[in-house]
Amino acid sequence: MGDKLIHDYLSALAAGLPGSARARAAIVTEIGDGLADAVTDHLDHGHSPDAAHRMAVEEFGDPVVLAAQFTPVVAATQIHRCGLALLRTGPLVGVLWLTTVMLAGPRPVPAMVVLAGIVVALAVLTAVPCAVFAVAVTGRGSRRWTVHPRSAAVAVVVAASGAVLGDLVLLSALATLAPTVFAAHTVTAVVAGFAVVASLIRLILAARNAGQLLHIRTALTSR
Amino acid sequence: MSLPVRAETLKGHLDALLLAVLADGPRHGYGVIEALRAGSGGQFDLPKGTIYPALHRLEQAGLVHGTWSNQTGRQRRVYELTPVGRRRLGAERTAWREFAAAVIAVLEPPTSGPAWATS
Repeated sequence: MGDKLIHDYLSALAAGLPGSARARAAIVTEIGDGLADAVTDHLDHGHSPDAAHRMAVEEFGDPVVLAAQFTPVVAATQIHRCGLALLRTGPLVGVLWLTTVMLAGPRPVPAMVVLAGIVVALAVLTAVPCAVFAVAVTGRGSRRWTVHPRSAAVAVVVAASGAVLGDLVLLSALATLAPTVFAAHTVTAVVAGFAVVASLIRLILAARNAGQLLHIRTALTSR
Repeated sequence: MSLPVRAETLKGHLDALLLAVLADGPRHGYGVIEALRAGSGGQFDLPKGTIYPALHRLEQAGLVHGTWSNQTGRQRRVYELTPVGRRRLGAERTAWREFAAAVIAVLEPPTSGPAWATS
């Protein structure tokens, strides 16, 4: 009976936690360890096993409330990681695409490429400050600036959307100009290939994180 | 005998208390809870779960550092103060002394007049 109490408590906690499976598992392991300590403590004080388990669970409080207390912390970790990934991959993706354009850019530059460039520039100008803000307020900067994680979540979603938009526009432009680019030179084709792979990886990562970020945003809104 | 201090009363002071408890050395979550309870003579008997999110928040801010240990055959997370956390604790102690002195000065004004008047 005692073990079932602990198991049910940890299951309820896990169900209420946002974030990745790994982050949730780490929290559940840590709380499980604390509950085991509490049970041992009560057994040492002469309580029966059932009473010790019941008292331990009561002392830790409602698992739904505990999950809600963890939500801003888990959210901040996820937002920070996502923002950092965008800031770290951005320069690499940017350099690869710029090199592709410089090596293979058809002369004169078609209006469609100019338009794509403007859209990408606007996306970058929006995404970078948002990602910097999200990273700054969710990491060590949190001891200087008190910003609600909901604002950081919105910022990182905007940054990720900007990156996705930029990648999609660049991939679409390349698809239109593929015969010119890939026929130009082997080096150009290789650089363009790397740029495509980098953008695709970023799109896949964005898609994988989108679900978690939306869940986090919902969890933060409902608090 | 006075009642245990409620969680809401401690709100705003919990971070400093946790840093103080970790100043003596690394502890795992339950060790922090016990140290807080023992150090306050049983006055700070919070819902034990609330300590863990607070420790995670302090870790996120770089004030404590958490590592997993497996010494007892069980996975447990151990926390210790970082140099930044130690500096923050010093600042919190100073701020608390000044605050407490100001509150005492208002709540318990000297009845025999100021010290300069009696000398």
